[in-house]
Amino acid sequence: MGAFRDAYEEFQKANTEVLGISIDPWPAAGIFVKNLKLPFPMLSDWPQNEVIKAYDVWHPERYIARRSTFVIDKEGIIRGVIESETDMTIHSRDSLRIVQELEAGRT
Amino acid sequence: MALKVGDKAPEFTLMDGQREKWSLESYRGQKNVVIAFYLMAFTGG
Repeated sequence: MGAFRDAYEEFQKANTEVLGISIDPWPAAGIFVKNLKLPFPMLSDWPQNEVIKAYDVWHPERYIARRSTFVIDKEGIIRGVIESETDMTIHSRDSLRIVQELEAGRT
Repeated sequence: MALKVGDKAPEFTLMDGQREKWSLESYRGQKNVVIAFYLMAFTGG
């Protein structure tokens, strides 16, 4: 998530908020934010995993959530999905590019 | 069924480490939102 932290200013310029979601309980989410000095929240989907299931990022064989990033526009429509990448710098870079294009009105 | 570009994003309200609530709906008409699903306890980065 450090990649999103490092690009956070650019996300803000593109009128975009970043929200991290994990399956860990709230205290762990808070410690993670503190340790990595994240300027955005990590939200806990524990214990229900409702959001992880709603976004279909649950990995049933391994009982973990896949690393997936969704770009959602102001109207609540999904405008980008980044999956199948373990490198979070790619998630950050690609999602930033999408919101910059949205703000520029090119899409 | 996997979500794809053009689908409506499922609404959610979740709490952060301080048990403050954050909801996707609160950004409607205001901001784009990037949500990153991430397993923090078991992985680096």
